[in-house]
Amino acid sequence: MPRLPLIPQVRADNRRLLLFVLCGVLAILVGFVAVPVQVAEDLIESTGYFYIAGLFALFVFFGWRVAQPRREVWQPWLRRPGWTGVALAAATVFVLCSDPFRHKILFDEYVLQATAWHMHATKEIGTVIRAYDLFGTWQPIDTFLDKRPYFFAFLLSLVHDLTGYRLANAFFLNGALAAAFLGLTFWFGRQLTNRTGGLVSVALLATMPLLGQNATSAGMEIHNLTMLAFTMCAALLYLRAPGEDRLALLCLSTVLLAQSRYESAAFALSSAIIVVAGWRRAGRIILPWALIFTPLLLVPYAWQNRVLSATPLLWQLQEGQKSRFALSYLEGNLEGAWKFFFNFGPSLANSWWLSALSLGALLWVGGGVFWRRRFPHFALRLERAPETVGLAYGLVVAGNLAMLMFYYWSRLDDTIASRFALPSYFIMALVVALVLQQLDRRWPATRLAFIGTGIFLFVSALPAIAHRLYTDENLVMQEVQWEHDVIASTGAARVLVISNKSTIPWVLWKIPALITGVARDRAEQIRWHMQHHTFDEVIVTQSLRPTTADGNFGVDPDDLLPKSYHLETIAVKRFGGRVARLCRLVSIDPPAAARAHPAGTPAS
Amino acid sequence: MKLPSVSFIAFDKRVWLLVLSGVLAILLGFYSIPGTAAILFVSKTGYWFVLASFVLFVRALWRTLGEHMRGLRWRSVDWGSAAIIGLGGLVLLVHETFGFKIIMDEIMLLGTSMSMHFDRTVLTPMRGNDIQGAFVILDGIMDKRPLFFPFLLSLIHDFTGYRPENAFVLNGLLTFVFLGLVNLAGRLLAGRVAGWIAVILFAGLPLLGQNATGGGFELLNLVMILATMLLGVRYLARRDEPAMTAFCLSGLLLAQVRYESTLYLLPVALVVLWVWLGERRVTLSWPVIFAPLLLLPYPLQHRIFELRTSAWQLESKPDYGTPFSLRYVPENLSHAASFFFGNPKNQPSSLVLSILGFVALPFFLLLLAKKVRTLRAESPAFASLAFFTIGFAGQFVLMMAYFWGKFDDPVIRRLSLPTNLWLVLGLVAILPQFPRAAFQRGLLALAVLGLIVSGVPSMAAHAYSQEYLPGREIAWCRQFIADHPRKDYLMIDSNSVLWITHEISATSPVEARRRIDAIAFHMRNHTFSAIYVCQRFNIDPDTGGMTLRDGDDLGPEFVLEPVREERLQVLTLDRISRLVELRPAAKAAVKPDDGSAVVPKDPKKIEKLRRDYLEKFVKELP
Repeated sequence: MPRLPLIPQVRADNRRLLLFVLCGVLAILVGFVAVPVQVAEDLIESTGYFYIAGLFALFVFFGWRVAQPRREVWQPWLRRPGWTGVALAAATVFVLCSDPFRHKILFDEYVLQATAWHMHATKEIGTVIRAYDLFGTWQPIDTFLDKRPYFFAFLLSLVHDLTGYRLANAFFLNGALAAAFLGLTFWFGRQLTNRTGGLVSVALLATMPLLGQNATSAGMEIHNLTMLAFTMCAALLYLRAPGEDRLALLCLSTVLLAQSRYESAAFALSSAIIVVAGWRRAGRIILPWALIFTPLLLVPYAWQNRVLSATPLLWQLQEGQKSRFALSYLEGNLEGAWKFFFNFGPSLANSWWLSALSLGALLWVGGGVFWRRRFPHFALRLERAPETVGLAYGLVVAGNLAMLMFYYWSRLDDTIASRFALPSYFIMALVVALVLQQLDRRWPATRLAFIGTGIFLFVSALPAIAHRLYTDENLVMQEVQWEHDVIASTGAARVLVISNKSTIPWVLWKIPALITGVARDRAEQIRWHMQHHTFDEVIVTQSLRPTTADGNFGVDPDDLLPKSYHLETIAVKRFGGRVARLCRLVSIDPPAAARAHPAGTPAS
Repeated sequence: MKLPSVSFIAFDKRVWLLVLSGVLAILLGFYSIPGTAAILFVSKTGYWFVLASFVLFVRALWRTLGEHMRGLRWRSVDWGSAAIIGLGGLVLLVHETFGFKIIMDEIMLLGTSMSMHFDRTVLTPMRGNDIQGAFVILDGIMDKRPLFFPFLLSLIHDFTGYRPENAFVLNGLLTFVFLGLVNLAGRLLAGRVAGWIAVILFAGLPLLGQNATGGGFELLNLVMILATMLLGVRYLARRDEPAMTAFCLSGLLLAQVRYESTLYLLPVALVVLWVWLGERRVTLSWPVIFAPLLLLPYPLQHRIFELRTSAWQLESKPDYGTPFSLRYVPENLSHAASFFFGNPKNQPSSLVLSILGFVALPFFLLLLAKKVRTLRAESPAFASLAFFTIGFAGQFVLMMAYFWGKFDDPVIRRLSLPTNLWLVLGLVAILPQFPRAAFQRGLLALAVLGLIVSGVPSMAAHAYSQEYLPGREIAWCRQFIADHPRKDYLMIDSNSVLWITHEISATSPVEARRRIDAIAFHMRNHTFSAIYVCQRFNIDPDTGGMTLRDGDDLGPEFVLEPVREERLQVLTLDRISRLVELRPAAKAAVKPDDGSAVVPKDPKKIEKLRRDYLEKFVKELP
């Protein structure tokens, strides 16, 4: 094969090239310099929906343009998927059955759903924190711009648009995305190795409880994984036969991937490598309009990142923490990562089997690169498109994982943070399939890996799935659900909730809510509405905490209301080491009487 | 008669390995491991032994049947037989209510499946609680029942999530599998119509319907007996290694369904030996060589009978001194007759099946005696049934010599199911002696008539199950569970296993009285949303006065408020009450705390207090 020049012969339209460079410069100026943070925030809120909708429409358009000429390749497979289809369907069903459909990460998932609801209802970007039923219409009163990228929320709003609003739509969406993710994994794995290799990748991922936990949640992790897998597939298609449509699809997929999770913007680097590699293969610079405008399409991401950086309240730092990234977090995070990847008990949703295979595979690859003679069967054929794509995206996944080790909340053995390991596991499953294929020349490696996966399933995965400690020990989620069930069972049509946690779940259930701090300050307004029967019930949620080893519970200081609030207990339930209490607000003393009782003393 | 030479067997190294493996299994199973260690061993490793046996069995099945399965086409399916099997299964499933019918047996099996599912251990959970949001099993005991049924049930839990009703799903599926196998056996023995006769005879057997809708292991036992017999047919027909492996491993699993099913290992061994002698060569595979070691948990688990004399449940029949004796036979035979030929309203038997079966059985045995010398010339199906007749007869004799082997007893009726199978197979086996097609058609019509006139009305009324109070009590308690879907309460009940297997914290009245301070701690601190007590009363027919049954009395310290009660029989009352107050002797009355204490503001102090409290909380758990 003739050696390709490092910089391909420039045969592109010079005007397009100039425009591309101009767009890059303009994007940097607009994204980071010219537009103030407040203006950026306003622009995202008012135009963000149309930006992401347009982007998605273009993505679908180019997706169709790429798929349409290859109809003879994919249509017969869709019609008769055979045993592979059965295996993929079985894997999807297993994944979706391995955890109950419910919210897993609080309050991230409710925030995403609140954003999706706002997009559905108003076509604006914002997370609703306060809303009331005004004259029969559920009206958002207060919103804020959340830190999370909003492609997932947009897709969810699209499902609401097409099928009507319901909380469960998030689960349907994630279920469908899980099926798509496993299909894309199989396809990429097959291109990287062979059919068995693709199935090994799918089996390794499907038997990992973490995938099932996220596929049945309302979060954006599975969406991010699906977009990553799709982008890798688009990159592979482009690299195999570089062309304008395929490159446009890759560019749009990359921009959408950047809008799927904060750190996924880094995959723009991988895509850039693939674009250049494609130019080399084609022997010319291909510059479709989508690529020319890609830098500008990334500007909203830069704006949102600046808003986040300028709003420390959104960082959710814990006591004593001053910055999001620091060297001091490294030790704890590394320890957490080790404990997570090689946890053998049922408490975490990891797959030690995939971790161990990956470690072996990485050692094999390392050995092959550095001691080629001792590893005669090793072959990393970077001239092959799948290997190039795998390496380009795999390195960024590794980089992201390395970056997470410096992040303040990235202990992977914390069940809330375990999901950050998903992209790494995805790449690891592909690397394992690749190495197994090489080892197959000497040993029945893939067969042994299948048997090992079966053993892992029975020894570790199924017991972990049976216990679901990583899901069920999320007591706040259970508490919120219990509060909602009790309030729903009161039969009251118009309820105001004074919540000690968050108003967002209540807003999604279309129940007006305030947080305790606001209720303390707005006693007079609440009293006025009680007098005018705006609400049938005003319910207060509180936490009771033990004051001795024997119990002797009392109200958490953060949940105390002034003594002018007269409460009547309606339900009590223990959640681990604390007790949740729901009270009916019977009355609020008028201001003159309230002044006699300073705030902070317990309400009766 | 010249006996065949067996020297080729003695000179085969693999046979010696099999013998070695058998001797090792006997030494380990019966002599080397002391009782307590044996129980511990089974509780930790029993699941893995059964899993290994099952995986090997599935692999062997695939090896012997894979080619046949791949060749299956929709057009080649016998849709007529499939429709009869489907309808027969529906008849069996629709008339009875799904529920745990036999107290302890079915709940204990469910409990073992629960610990297999959650912890891969063989234990029936006796203590379990929700501590941090998830229900966890804290303690358990080893049950005496073999492990294959709980294992299969745990597989369903594994892939669909834990729920007690999975036992009914499993038995429902097994019902169709069983009827399918019955049809196949009948077809192999005497043709297509014979298969239908066998299916319809079973569809009209109320006892089968009762067990098909229960949570017990009887259906699996029948399925495994038939499956093993049919794999024996395949081995006799093909005489190759894959068929032999599947046949032997099926026998191995059959031995782990019911205690006495080990009897069927004898016909399995005889068939293998018979084929070796006929072929003058040994067929053996590695899984079969190690099979005796895979059976190790069975004898080790059997040590329970040494350690726990109550395991024989002899105390339930004070007049009987030993579990097995020939002196029980005459009495048990009269009870068997009373079951097989009893009034269909009182006994879940099928008169048509019993009459036809008992008429056919002597003829079948005579036929067998006549053909035993020329058995090699007979069809593999007849030969296999001939060998399995030893198992069927052995099981029947064993039951008749068992102190509790009264087939008309509500708890024991189910033990007659293998005998019913024997009767049907015996009937079908003699049908080729009556070559006229009209004879089979007449029998078919008679079976259908029996199903409609006797079987269905008996199943619809299911009067035979009403006299068994514990079964109805379980159904009543399960209704309470269904009405209280938030399983955050504590139940004080002498049958605490029932509640724990439904993931509800429970303790016995004896424990509650002994640990009244712990109950007070939890009541004060809202550990449970409520504390309930389940009690049973006997009612005096003359005075109407109610007396608590033994072990249900909690004493005056427990102040109860009835929330639900029902007279399940004329002279019994079942009641569930809520514990409203505790009045421990010489202490203040205990009620739920009102949460009026003052909590410190420092989050670190709050966290420390929470940890201290949780530590005590775990210690005080019932």
